[in-house]
Amino acid sequence: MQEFIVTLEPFFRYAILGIVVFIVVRMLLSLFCKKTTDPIRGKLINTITNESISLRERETSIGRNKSCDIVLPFDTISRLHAVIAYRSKGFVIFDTFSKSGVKVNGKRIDGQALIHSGDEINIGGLTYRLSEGKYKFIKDKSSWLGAPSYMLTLALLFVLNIIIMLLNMYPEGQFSGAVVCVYLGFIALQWIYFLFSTYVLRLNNFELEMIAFVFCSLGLGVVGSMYPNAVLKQLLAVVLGVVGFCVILVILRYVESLRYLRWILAGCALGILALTLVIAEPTNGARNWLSLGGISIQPSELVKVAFVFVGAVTLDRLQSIRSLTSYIVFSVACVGFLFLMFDFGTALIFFFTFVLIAFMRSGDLKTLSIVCGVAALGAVAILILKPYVASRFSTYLHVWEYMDEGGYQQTRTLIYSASGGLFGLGLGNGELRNIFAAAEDLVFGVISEEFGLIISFLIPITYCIIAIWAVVNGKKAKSTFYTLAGVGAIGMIVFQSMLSIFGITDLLPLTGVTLPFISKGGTSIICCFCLLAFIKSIDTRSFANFKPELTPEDIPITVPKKVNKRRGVAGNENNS
Amino acid sequence: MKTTAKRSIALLLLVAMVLGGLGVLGYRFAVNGEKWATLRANEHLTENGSFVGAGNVLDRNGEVLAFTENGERNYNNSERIRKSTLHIVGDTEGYISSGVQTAYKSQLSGYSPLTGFYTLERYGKGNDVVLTIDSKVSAVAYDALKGRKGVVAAYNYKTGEILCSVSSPNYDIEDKPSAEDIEKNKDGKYDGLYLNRLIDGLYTPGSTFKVITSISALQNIPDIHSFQYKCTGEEVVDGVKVTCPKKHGEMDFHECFSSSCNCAFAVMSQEIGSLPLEQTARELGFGEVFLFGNKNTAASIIDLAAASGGDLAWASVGQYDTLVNPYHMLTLMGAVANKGDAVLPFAVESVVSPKGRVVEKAEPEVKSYITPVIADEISQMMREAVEDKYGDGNFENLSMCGKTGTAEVEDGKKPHSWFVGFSQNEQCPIAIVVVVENGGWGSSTALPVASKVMKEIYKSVS
Repeated sequence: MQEFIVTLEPFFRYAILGIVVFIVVRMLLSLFCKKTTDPIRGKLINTITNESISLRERETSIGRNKSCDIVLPFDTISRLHAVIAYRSKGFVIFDTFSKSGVKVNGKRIDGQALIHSGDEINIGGLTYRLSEGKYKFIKDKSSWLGAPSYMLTLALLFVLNIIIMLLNMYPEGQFSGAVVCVYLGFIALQWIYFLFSTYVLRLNNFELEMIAFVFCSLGLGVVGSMYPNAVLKQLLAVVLGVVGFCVILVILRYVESLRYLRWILAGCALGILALTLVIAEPTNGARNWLSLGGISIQPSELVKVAFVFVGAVTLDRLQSIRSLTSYIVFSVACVGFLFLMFDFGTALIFFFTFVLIAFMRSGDLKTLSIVCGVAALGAVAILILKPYVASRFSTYLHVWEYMDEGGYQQTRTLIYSASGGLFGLGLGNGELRNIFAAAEDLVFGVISEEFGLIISFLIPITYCIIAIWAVVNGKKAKSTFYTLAGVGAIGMIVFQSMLSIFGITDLLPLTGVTLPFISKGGTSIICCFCLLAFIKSIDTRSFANFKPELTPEDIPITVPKKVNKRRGVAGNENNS
Repeated sequence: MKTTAKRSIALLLLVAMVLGGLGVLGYRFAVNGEKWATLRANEHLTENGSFVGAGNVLDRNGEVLAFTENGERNYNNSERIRKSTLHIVGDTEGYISSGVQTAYKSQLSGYSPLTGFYTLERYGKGNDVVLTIDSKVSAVAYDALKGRKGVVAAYNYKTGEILCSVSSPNYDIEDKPSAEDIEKNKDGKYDGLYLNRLIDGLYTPGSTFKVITSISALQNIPDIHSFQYKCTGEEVVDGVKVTCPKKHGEMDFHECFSSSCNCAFAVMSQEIGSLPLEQTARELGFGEVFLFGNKNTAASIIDLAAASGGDLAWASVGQYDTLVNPYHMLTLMGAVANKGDAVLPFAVESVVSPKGRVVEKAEPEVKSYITPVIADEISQMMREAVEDKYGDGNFENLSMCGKTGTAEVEDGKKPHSWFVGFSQNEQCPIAIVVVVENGGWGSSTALPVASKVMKEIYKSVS
């Protein structure tokens, strides 16, 4: 059997490369080329001009301000005049404290009113007739590029995992049943997820998940060949991650209830960080591991999810500095704890994510520059007061001069990455794997050496392309919360990849963080899948097939207590 | 909501940074990848400090000069062959930078930027390097040098293949002298131990430079064939006395050359002039760096810009500041022998993958230095020198052309002993350069070495 595998090895190398590149490229094309499958839930028809406006969003804002979904540039219209929301019992119109009010069939409404097909709505003198749609979904008119065959993708994933399994059947020279089970389990997980999300969650697009599965396959391959005993744990983390992904995706459908969660999450996050700081034993210079009954977790990874969530929710109320304050306080606390744990890499990731989300929320460059300035001063102060911290970064840009000391990991990563060429030496044939933290911090080098530079470069490039997709599609998201959470999450992943890859290749100081979806580390994998759910929430199709089954009362949309007239843009963040 | 989405463009800054960084990284891999991958720290190649990832090094007859067995680097059984091929095969530590094991490290390891060390990983060894060297001839050359410092190099001037390149001092790679000994360098025994004198050496040329002066005379003096000179043993040129070891008497141009008469060349040099002589030398490759097996040779040096008439007189007989690189001199002999066109000498014939595929094959480069007419005349003059002065018996059957040189060096030391020449025998188109440092007379020290090596080569082809 072993000989058989060795004979096929040259073929396997190109098969792995082909499958990985094909799936990733195919999925990215699909992300960009898809057309919206949003149903037209109803239409507003102008009674005089017969001009019709489609109602596609769950909430449509109407007003004079340019940031409204329907802009009516007349003096009689308030800046944010009204919001038409689609609820389970039908359309509801909310008067958002407009000056001239909203009339339905000639009667001025008080706050909100249910409206039906044929009702005439008067907004500041303009009259529209509502025509409800039949809730039919628009046929997906996307080109062939936008409609991948998930059966084919899953079949290719099957082949990929079987190949990696074959290559890994004899890790360290001995047959390992555990490794074989893990790969079969992983394949089963892909199918279960596919069926579950198709028939229960009613999803019909899986680009992001398929990319995650491909990268996880590579990661599991590396872990399986290096740590046959730890690979089961890694698979378990992937399973938990996928479960977390589904749970978050469901929770995110109930945008309105999220705000209650944020205080709980923020409290839990700070609590667990504080707990870690108190009881954790230092490992490799950082006190960021928590051992609970034999299971060790990295709390900072879990807090990442809460961090993005809290950041995205707090802000959905109003774009003012005041709303930013609590987030700043929360962020400073998190980053502070991480600094005290000497987990500088993660601290930096948190700080970047904070800046990104805070900027998107407020656009307040002044406050943010102050925060950044203070942070920079703090960092400098720490470097001066605690010189041993600075010494960790002393070999930066001088790794070749300290090849066997401080630059050991970086130079070996470069040497062995170059040894693999474009196509790699084959799984298990590398030398970098023998170096400390190879499967965690140096995993980019291991992937380069064993799977080749094409695949290793494809990973960060894929994250970047997803980030570009998130930015381009952010404005189409169903809610500001989704935009904030999705962009924040992918920003976090891209930033972490950057620290990880450039740190070990001496483009940036070495901070020792993991590469998302690839590195060994259970908590890290779980966190990545949870973040993926946020990113997926940007995709309008994620919720397209979802029919809200809410209570009769429905959850009211948020209406600002006061419209900030001076700035004139208040409330437009609210119409989710 | 629209505003928030618009602000997310800030994320594109990060994306641009990451993509830019990846570009830089990719560029670095493209530029430095080979250098990084072939570093000694790479355990694909190096085990216990030994370059085990390398393929075999073979001589032209398939004799294995270096090979890896059981995770250890081994060398040829014969100590003579090990020593004589040391500077061409090289060491694994990289001290001998021009050796094949260093200069062809990536070829030997089978490295390719596309597939990395896949060959090595799959077949357990890298590519074989086949040399043009004949290890038997090299061993004879090594013996002939008798441990004296210097260089012996011979090559086929029709094909460019170097058959023999021995540089001394050398050492047995299986029994390397201790670092301490080398450091101490008792009696200068290890002077330039790691240098391949063929390509790194620079020597005062002595009378061998008369070949160049003669070429310049043929180019610059129209009535050179009516040149007559009566040697009285000394001549005063521009207030400087030039001497010959004996009185040569009445001679024409050819006889001046074969007698190697300093006085005649001193007079001739005044007719040529310093600038034309320097120009001829530059056209003949002075100041030029050659590429020999991935490494640059040392360039021969000539500078007559500030030379007085007396300086020029001495320069014309190779006793000024002029320094010549043996590889360059060998190339020049090749040019004279080959009707003015030199096939540049090389030592690596091919690189062969474990599957037997030829990965790299030597592509001889041809450079034109002089006209066929001048080449023929110089050949004739050098032939006359062997026939009339050195004795054809030293080079039986070879129709040898040659020129000796006795290059005076610093006071208190014996002169460097030179022999340069080539065989006109169609079966044995070989050019040779011998330098024995502080060896004394060219005709009594360097010439016998050349004689032994040429005979061995003739034996191997006939």
